[in-house]
Amino acid sequence: MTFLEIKNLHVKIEDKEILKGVNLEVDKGQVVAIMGPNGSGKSTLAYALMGHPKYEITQGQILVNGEDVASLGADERAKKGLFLSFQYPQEIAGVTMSNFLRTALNAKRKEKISVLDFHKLLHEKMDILHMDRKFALRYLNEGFSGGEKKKAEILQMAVLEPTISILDETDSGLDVDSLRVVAEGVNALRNKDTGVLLITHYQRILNYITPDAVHIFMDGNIAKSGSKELALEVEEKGYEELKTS
Amino acid sequence: MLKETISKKFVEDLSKQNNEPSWLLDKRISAYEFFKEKAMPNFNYGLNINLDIALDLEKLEALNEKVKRKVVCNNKEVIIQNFEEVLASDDSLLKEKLMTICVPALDKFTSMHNAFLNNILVVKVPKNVEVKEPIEITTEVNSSVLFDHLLVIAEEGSSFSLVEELNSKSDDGSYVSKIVEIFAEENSKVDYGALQNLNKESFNFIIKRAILKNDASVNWLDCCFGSKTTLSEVTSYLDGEGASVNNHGVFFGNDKQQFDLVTKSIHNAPNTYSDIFTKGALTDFSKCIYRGLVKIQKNASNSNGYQKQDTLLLSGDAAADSIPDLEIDNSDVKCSHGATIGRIDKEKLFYLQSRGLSKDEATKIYVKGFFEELIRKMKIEKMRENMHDIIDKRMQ
Repeated sequence: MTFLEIKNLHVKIEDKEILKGVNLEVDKGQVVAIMGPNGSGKSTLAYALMGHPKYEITQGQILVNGEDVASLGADERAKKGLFLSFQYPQEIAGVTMSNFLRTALNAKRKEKISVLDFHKLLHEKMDILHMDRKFALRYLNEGFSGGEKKKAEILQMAVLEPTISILDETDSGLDVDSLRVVAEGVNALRNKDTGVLLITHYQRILNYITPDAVHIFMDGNIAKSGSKELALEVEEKGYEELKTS
Repeated sequence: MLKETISKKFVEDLSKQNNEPSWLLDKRISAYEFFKEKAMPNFNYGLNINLDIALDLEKLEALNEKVKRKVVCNNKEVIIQNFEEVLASDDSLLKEKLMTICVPALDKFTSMHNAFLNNILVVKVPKNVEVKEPIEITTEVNSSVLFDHLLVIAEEGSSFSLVEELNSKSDDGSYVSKIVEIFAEENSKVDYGALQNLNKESFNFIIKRAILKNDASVNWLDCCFGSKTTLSEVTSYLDGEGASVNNHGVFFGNDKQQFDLVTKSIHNAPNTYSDIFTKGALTDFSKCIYRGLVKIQKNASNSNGYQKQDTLLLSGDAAADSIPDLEIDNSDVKCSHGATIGRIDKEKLFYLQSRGLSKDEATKIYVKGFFEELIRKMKIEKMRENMHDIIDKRMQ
């Protein structure tokens, strides 16, 4: 069974249908890329998968490990193995990254992790992402630069170890160096037990993270599917030409 | 002890019992006259909400009990005396300073306080003495009525922290009147923290005021968690050039708690600085009215006065309103003021929940973070822990 199966997903926001029957699968060990122009519904897919209350699922299923999670809240979906790296992570004043991640990890686990073990785990993951350990003592995303926010999202992913991570435009707003660090981080965390749904506008992040499949998103649905070469084709021709071809 | 109500005779008896000097009796009597004359305020500020305060001061029981208090101070140079000790030794300082910042004529509550005052603590830190460990004062209210006064003299160049905790001993309601007067002389540095956690049957009246001389600094952190109704004013008079004040406050109401909070900075000299910052959360049916004022007098050129107040509403029935006010008489100043009353941003909640936190867990961590900005300024670890405990309990 594929870990994440999206079947005929229709989603609307305030009476406007955004997703129009999406079918998509992401399995453990896979990287599936979704590319598409602005307004094609990519971010809506990310939010709908994670259970944002503003996005109403009118039809279809989101199957996680065979179970439909469409009616569950975000926290329940997280506990079942989904993770969303936000395009615009929220700033939470007064809550340190370290405190937050320990609370989140404990919420997912049956047994509480000891403070000592947690710090060991946190430092290990920070080292993989080449992050200064002082980072953990800062308030969650508060005053972080764009690049720091994206790194912080990947750190959360690394600590929480979800089965499927949805990366919503993690590459946007990053300079080349930051992009490389973030992409290397994602690669370092890839293994046979985790999958990635990588949502992006640009092809450039796929130079660092090689996808197993590429889907082109247009007007609320997948318009074209292919292998990693499809991403290069989009880069060359643009989305408009693909639409007519 | 027999139950006695408020009367002039009670004032005279009280003074006699304490073997007080005549100046103090005179002061009490004149305060009593004010008390009889002054009308009870109506607590109506023309805002969207009103507080419901049914309290008849005239019918209060006038008790003459001494409060239970624990004072910790590791520095032997600091002079700490209670009422009896002051009267038994030299009362000239008391005569000179008592009720001179919080004058009895102010209102009915203040005049009553001065007339029936029966617990005083004087803390004097001598010239250039630097107290490393904080001075801790823990007061346990064990009577139905308490008039408690703290007089702080920070002599020139002294530096210290003083932390007060005010708790109830039982679940019985009390009328607790608390006044703090701080005299910050030239170049002195005073950190004052207070944690009020009276039981929910109590009524708490608070006025805390400081006068600052040249280059003095006072940092207030006043935290109100307890009592059914709290009327609180914290005011700083920046009388000396270069004086600076951080006037910070925290409140958290639940059940039917009511808060009527006032913070003021009065700039009376050039190059002065004040920062008012109050944060509060309200849940259940609790209410808060906040009024703030930054006043810059004509001679206070090159001064900065900031004012900010944030209230978080955690239930549909909780209500708050605020008036941050500025009065500026000098154009050569920097001032700002702002107030927010809002609920937790849904996008922030979703973000936290997407990491596996339930709605309750996400709310709790968010609210704790909201207060952390001010709690972390508290120098004493034990006090920070107490505040975290109180907030934890409120969030359950």
